[in-house]
Amino acid sequence: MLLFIIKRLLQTIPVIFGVTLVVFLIMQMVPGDTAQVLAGEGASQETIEDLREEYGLNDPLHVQYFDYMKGLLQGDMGQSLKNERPVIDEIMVRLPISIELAIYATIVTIIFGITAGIISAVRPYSASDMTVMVIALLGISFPSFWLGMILMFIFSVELQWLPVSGWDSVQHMVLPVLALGTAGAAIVARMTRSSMLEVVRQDYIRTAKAKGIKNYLIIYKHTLRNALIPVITVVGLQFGALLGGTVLIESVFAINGLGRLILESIRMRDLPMVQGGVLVASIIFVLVNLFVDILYKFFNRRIDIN
Amino acid sequence: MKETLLEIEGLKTHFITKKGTGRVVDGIDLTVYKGETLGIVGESGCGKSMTSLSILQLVPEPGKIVAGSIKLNGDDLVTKTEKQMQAIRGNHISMIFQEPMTSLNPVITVGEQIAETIRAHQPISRKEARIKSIEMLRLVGIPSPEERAKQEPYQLSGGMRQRVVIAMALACNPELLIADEPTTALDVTIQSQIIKLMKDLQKELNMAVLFITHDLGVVAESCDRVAVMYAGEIVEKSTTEELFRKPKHPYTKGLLDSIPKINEVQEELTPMKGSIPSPFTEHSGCKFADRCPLATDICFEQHPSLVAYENDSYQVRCFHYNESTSGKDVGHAKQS
Amino acid sequence: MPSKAKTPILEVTHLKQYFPVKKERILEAKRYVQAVDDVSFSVEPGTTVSIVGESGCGKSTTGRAILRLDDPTSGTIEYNGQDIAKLSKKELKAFRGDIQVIFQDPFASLNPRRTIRQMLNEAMSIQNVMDKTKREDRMLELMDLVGLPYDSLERLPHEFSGGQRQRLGIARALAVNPKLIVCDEAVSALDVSVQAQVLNLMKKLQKELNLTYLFISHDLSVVKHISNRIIVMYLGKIVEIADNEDLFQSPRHPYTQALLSAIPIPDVNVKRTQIDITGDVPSPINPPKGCRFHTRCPFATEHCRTVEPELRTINNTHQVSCHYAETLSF
Repeated sequence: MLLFIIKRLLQTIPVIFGVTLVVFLIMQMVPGDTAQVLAGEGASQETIEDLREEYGLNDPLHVQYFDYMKGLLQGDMGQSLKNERPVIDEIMVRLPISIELAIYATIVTIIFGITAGIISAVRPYSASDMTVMVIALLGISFPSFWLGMILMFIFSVELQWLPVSGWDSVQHMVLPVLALGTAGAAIVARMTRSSMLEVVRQDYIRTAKAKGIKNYLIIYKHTLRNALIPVITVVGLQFGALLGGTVLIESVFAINGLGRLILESIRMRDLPMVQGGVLVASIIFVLVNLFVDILYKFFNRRIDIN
Repeated sequence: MKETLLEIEGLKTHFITKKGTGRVVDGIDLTVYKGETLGIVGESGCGKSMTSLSILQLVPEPGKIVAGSIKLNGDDLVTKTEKQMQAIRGNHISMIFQEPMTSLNPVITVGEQIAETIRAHQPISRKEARIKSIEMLRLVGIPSPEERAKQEPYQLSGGMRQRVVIAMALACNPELLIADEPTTALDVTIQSQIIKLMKDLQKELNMAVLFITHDLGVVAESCDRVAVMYAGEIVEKSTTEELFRKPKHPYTKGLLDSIPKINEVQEELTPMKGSIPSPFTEHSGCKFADRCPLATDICFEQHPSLVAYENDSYQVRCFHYNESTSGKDVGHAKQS
Repeated sequence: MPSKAKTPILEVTHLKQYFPVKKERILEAKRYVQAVDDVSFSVEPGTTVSIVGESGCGKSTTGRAILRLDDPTSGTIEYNGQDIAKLSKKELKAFRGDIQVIFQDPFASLNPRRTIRQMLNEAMSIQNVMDKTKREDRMLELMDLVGLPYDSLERLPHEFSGGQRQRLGIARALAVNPKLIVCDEAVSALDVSVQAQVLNLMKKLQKELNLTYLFISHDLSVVKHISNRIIVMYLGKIVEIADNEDLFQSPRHPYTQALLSAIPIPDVNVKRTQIDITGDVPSPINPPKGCRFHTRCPFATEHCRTVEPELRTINNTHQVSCHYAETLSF
């Protein structure tokens, strides 16, 4: 097991390295001029040239990249071009908010998704199953930002039950978390349902019935435990997708998280900030995946062996 | 006089589909006496497994018991509710299945799988159930049962798992154990260990066993009486001794002739022609007629019923059973 | 019985097949499953040699090596005197035609959307066995050989029953005029009445086409029925080789004896003397020292626990690997 973890950790290094390279190159290819943006509108050509020189923007690409990587390996992500604060500080302020948002959304995903999946699977093709599955299909089909806006319109603007934006209290969190978690919950519900229906056909469920085990125990103890193993992977992947989703949801609800930071920085052509933000997001994504893989392997060891 | 434990009368379990009706079990009469081992033998698709699942009311969709009664100590199981059946399954009647690899839940420790069976039927604490489950593991000959109880099925070999399955089935001291091909997936040396174990435990716990198998060798070695099934019907029923000495039904004879004998030299086997009919086929006469070497016009026109031969304990479903016994001697009685 | 002078069609010499085990811990020495460990035997043309043993004994692995599906860890396999590991591309193609295989379910590996005609045509064109014009006749001939109606050619795999599928498996193998057929549990999944039909067919074909069979099975009754010579394997090693009658009349290895006595016989007149062997087959990753069977053998001595017995000849055709083969009586 330890060997597996170490192997997977080593595998993440080239992935993260690749991410830095791709982010760097994309930022170079995006049209627009960093120095121009920095200098502001109406700045003289001279000021722009000076800025370019100061930030090393005239160096060849590989030198710029190399410099950046050198700093990174020393724990230095550079400084924001906008306000000259260290990138790392800015990220550390914004990141916890995004993580909080993603974790709450994942909890919504798990609780709603698995519950709905069980309701469906217990009586397949019944009215309750059909209802749940239609809702799940809608949940997958709606983009999260659209759902966010609709929720905002209904609950904040029309009913005025909940605040429109921000991230200050539980009331603030309800709508963004729901908007972000719904799609995942729908996917998890469908996965739980099909996984449970698969498990129900297994010989050991027949054995449990032949032992006279009560129905609810057959569902919760014998079926669900096995059915959740593939669901773990889906939840993990969903968490990754959520990180992407935070960019949109943070914008819709004006939450000052990492996603919004990255989006603002792109608009400002604040290259070090974008790179830092994307890098941190990627590392989290990779680590979550690693964690999910380990969990999956742990739960699956009993099945894998044959 | 032998005491009746289970009495099946006119049992029909059919699969009703859009394609038509599959007569998987098509009118079975069977009695299991207390403490005996009754074998049901037949090839795949003959309905032997569905008969056993019918007893426990566990017939899978789209199967349904459409007629007949199954009486345990005089009490009809067919009319019972699901809740009432749950109290019977694993308690009065237990069942073990063919595949030891898949019939245990992979994520629950073997000790817990035994203990939960006990707790489903007896008002005892978790701790007492755990102690009892370890006792059961010891009873079925699992070394260091305390440690084994904490293991999950993947940590056990096939033979060990089948012992666990047996321990689970016997945990509540059932009156009847249904064993559906319990040794088919095992290697022969392990098979003989398991059969011996089942025999010993049967004596010790004084239960009846309904032994379902395709293997005539296993039947000859472990059953007191035997019923041969073909296409959803019992075609011959007798004591094991009599049936193997002088089988009356041409299908039983055909089965015995098909098996390569370990104790004699044969240049060629005498197989039956054709193959087992689908349960969806309609028959007006004897279901075996088109494969039968003795078939005459009557066999295609009328459906033979199960009739007593000499005494009530020997029954056969064939118009020509007298001829089939007077024919050539059945080759399997010779000794090498 | 095979005559001794014939040159073998297949000669397996010191075959070893080890598979690496995935490491579980970091500081762990590399471990191997010793699936087949130093196995030698030969097969004479026109005969049936069977390999029999319980699961994990290495019988199927041996079969795979002979089919050149796995490269051996060491040892050689010679087909008609030629090392199959050193065949040229052209020779290999000829070899692939000469040796065919029948599995337990030949249709598990078949495209369910192709008719039997397409399947046979493909088999013949890969090996280029005959003119396209003659293939049609050959297909009809094959259907005759395996006893299936001609219209089977136009049908799809799922339309056949188990026994018919195995007949088709045989037809596919025969399509390229093989010399040697490896039958890996070929009749194990069949019901007895159908199994008897297929066994009779295989015997008939062997006579007519002068085929050689390497028959891999766990079922001793079937093996007894079809074989000339029988190899008994246990945990990757050969424990006994003998001609059919010899093996069943006077098995010399305690494991063979135990296997024989464990088979339930469908005959109430026969009372067997049962040799009980206890416990399970040990793991092939770390097989017991000395004789591999000593952990389950009722006759094992200290000598057995420490010294590994050689496979030695006790009379001209009978080989056993047991220290006490001559003195044990069962």
